[in-house]
Amino acid sequence: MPSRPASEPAPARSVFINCPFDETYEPLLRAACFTIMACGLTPRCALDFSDSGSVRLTEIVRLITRCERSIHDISRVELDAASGLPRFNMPLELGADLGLRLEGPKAQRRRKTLILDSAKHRYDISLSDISGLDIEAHGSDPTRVIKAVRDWLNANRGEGPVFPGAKAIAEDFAALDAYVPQIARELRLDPHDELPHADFLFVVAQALPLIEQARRDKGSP
Amino acid sequence: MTVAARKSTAKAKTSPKLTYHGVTIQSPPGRSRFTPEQIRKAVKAAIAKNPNALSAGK
Repeated sequence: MPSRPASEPAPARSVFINCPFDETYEPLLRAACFTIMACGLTPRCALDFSDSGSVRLTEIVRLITRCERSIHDISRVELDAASGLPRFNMPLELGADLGLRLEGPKAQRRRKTLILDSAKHRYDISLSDISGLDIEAHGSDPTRVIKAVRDWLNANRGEGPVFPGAKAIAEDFAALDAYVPQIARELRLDPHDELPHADFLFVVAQALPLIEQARRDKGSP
Repeated sequence: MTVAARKSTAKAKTSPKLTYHGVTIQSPPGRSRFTPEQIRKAVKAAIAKNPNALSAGK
């Protein structure tokens, strides 16, 4: 039988991700999901409901309320070459999140929010009202996404042991990235048949301990 | 063995706790087309066939 979680993840352990779902952004989304899972939390996004990520705003807002932490990537707020207009879906979802945090029910006011952008202070020009929030630049580099997400999760972990370091997580993410084509072959998928988002998350869950063990066997934890 | 103990043993057998550097990994949302055992075997085989990948990103 296919893998299936017993129940919906607890809000305290869930991290909502608001980001693009295209091929170009995929390495960054996978880096964020890998980091969240390495920190013992569950990544949630519109791809939980639809392979294309096309989900109604009401469902998105419901999902945001079921995650105590959120990550919003606004790096793609830029002019589209064809239309000459920017896409505002990501700032809209960020606004919904901040509205809950500022004036929502009591349980939503302790929400933690991380905003990612491509370059430092780019938001000063297009979205200056968010200054003062946790905002990190990633330069479209998965390693920088891992560091930003891990450090933010660790700073907001409350009580409990420190999460694995960003360098270790980045090295293990790079290793998994190299294994993915072979994993696809082992699962009898065609070379062009990429691992869809849901399958990728289940691969990460199994791969994290196995990669840690392989490093230990090799004498390099 | 009590009913509760039997249930607890059965659960432990079907869903072993996965950990990474002492952190307990949560079950992903949604569902996969593959069983955890199929995925685990595929990952183990990929690691065995490409040991140099552990140096990737260093």
